[in-house]
Amino acid sequence: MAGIGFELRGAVAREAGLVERVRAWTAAGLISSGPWLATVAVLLYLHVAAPFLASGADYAQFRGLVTYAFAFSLISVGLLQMPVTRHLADRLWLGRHAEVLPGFVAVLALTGVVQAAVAACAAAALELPRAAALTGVALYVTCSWTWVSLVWLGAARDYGLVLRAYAYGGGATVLASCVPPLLRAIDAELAASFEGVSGLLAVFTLGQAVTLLLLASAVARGVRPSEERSAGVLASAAQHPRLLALGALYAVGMWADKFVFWAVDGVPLLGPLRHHPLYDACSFLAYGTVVPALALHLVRTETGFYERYRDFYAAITEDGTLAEVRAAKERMLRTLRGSVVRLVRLQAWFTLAALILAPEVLVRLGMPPAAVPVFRVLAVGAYFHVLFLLTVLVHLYFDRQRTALTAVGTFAVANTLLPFCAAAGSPGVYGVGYALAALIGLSVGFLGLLRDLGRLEWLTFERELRRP
Amino acid sequence: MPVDSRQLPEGRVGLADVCLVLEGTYPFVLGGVSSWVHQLVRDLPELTFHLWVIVADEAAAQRDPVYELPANVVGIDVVPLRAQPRRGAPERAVEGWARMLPDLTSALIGRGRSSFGAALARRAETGWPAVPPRLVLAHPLAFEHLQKVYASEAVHESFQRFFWTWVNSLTPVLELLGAGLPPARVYHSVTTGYAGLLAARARHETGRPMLLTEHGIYTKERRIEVGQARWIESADDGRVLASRRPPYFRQWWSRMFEGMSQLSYAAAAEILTIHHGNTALQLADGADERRLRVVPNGVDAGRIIAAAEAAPRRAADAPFCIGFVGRVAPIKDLETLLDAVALVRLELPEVRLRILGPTDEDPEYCARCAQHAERLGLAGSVTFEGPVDVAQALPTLDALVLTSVSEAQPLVLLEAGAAGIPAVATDVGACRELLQGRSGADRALGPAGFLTPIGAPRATADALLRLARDPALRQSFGAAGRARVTRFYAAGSMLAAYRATYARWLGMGEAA
Repeated sequence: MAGIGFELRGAVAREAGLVERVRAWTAAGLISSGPWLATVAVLLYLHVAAPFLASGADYAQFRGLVTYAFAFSLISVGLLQMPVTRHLADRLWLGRHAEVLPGFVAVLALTGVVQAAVAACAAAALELPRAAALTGVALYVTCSWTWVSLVWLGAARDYGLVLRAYAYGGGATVLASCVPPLLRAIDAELAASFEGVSGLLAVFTLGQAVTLLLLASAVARGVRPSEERSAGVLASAAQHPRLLALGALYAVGMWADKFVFWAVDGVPLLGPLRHHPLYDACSFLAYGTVVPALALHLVRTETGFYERYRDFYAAITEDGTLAEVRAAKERMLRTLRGSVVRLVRLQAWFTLAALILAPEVLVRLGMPPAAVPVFRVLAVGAYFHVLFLLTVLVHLYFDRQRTALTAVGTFAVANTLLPFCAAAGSPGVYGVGYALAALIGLSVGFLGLLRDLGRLEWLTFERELRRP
Repeated sequence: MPVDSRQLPEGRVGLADVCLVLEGTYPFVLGGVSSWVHQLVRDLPELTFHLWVIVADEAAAQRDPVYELPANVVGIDVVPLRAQPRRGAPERAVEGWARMLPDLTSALIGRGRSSFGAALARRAETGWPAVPPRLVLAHPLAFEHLQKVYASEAVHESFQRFFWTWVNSLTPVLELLGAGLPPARVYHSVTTGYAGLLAARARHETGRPMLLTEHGIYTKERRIEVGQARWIESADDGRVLASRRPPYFRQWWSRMFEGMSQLSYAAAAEILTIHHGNTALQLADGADERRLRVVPNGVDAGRIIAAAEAAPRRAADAPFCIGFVGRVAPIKDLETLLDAVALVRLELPEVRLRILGPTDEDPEYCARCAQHAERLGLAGSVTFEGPVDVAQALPTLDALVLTSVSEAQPLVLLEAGAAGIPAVATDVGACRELLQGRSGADRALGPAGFLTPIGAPRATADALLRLARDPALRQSFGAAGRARVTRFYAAGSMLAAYRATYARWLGMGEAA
């Protein structure tokens, strides 16, 4: 007989851990915002308690250094965050828990070495006093390790644990902040060495370290030790260059407007470092207003969306007809639309309340009246920003990395260019650059989403054909 | 595109007289059709041949020929049906190919056979380069068309299965339509199927005549194969899906192969076949009666007779030895043969079965047969011996056996006849006319063996036992076989017929 056999096999690959992935992305979204908010609370406390510890100038310098430590550690760890999140979601779905801990240790070691070196060089360049340099390096490494731990815990989705860790960390800072005043009563000379910038840094770093210990030990507890190789997680980062770029671009985009303000309109902080106390303080507070949206998104995806999302892929892989696949898709999109509408509405109320209450609250927090208009525009910007972030998460749920990258890239560029113009204006328009950038990012992300969701069947199958 | 265009030694270039379009056979695989092609090329040295060979994948394309190519082979192009995806293709070309799909699918699985020419004409006009089939099928327009076809006939079927059936059935077709076309004066396909489709494409694009020879009937063999392919209807875990999914996807493949056959028949100037049994099936598949001709195969009987005469006579008390000569492949149904031999062994414990032929075509099947033999307790009675020189091997056998579910005109029956060995064969293809004769004079020579139904071990075993117990019967069958082969199946008559056929078409259109 002549002729060649033919190939009939082929199935839409059962997507590795679909639901794991949605959950992991959601957690990643929250974690990129939540801890910062907890930290803002601690900073506010120190602001209030600072008179006991240090002068106003010391506090401003301290907050500037913390901001730098946060910004640069978040951006550098942000490089790893997305690929690692994806890697862990896939590992956990495969039930390969044993590979989790070695990867964690490897990444801790890597970030520890790199970040300590970076911070030591920075401290030397800034000619910081020995005590401030030591605590500064410790803070930078602690922050980096905390972000790494949070990435791992994101896969475990134990939000309560994260909350507790930050509560204990905050408590530790509060307790530690009482030590210098008490010491002063006993030995003034000794107490003096715990005051000023290095004192504040030490107190703050102690709290961060407590949080880190709790988080890291939770990661270690959550997984069994093993002899598995640890190369997997780093190799996985290399395999997902788009995710690498996505995490880094998002972190850069998020800080870009602050960098611009420091450079264009800021005041000297330390050596060549600059900061912009008004803009910085207002933007941190503005981020605080979007907590309800993040919390609601978590709840909605946990309760409704996962199921529908899984049903959609099940309709394909379990041999549904096209009509069944489309019906499942419609149900999923209806759930998604419902959640979005509810979230847009709820967050609008919270933002509105923040706008109205701004004069009252800001004054209570000891901010100047000029902060009110700045804060209001930034709060509107944060509203767009959180919607933009959630749009990007939905892109990632459907593995549309390219579209997500376009939106995040647009945001990063806009949030660099527009604040340049805004910084030249009066304080009333300071936040307009950021708010417009967030709106542009949201629009790009949303349009991409509309287009992708409309042709989701095609995208799902088309991807199968491009698989190597 | 020529994924693998082998350069032959200097001097073997230029416009070939005949481009032989081959599928999974010559010159890479041993077998009946392959030896036929080899004989045709070797014994028509006055013509030049180009080989256009379709193989399964790129690994197969890397293999070396198992035949020594005659000097009149001036070139080989190898086209893998499943090539490694190549990156990058101009978006316009991808879209152009995607726009061709409606005409193409209508020609292959619909009833619009004439749209094949339209599709090819459109491609020729625009001059799109070949693009990876998967890129074409991933194009939004292609997906749109797929949904249209699904909506028109498959709305109750699994969409994912539909999608993969679509992709897997169209990928090879697109690969073939993009393959580089070697120039030649006549395109001669040795099957319908993919090779027939490729030759039909050459006919449409070059305007040169196409000839078609069928040994077995491709669509019938594919139907058997599709029927054996469990995974078309079975879930991954082996669980057979509920019967609310009637054999739609089997039908799809059968329709596809029928479509390719019909396109080949429509394009062919002459449709040649090797025995009369095929013509009815060809007519049923849409071949034009006026273009059908029967040209039986022949064998070089002289060499085999000489070998048989030279071989030492088998001892009267030697254990009864049965031979199977052919590829170890599912279509040969060796399980039935092994079952039959197990039945014979109950009465003749000394019986031996020698399986003579390549075992590497379907190693999985071969392993299964070996296991089956073991289970039947035949381990000591059966030997898998690989390819052998048939002329030398035949005189060592007492009977030749074939239990194939499908055959064309098995040469091995002619060879056995020439060697004077009686045969037991299933009543498929040309086996009846080869063992019992076609015309009056042929039939008068008497039978040269027994015919059995397909998949009937008992009948095969009974026939073998009768031969084993009756040396006189073996003798008379052998004599009838030898007389039939020397009188009606001389190698020269087949070659003369093809020489004349080529001569008819080679010059076509050139004088004008």
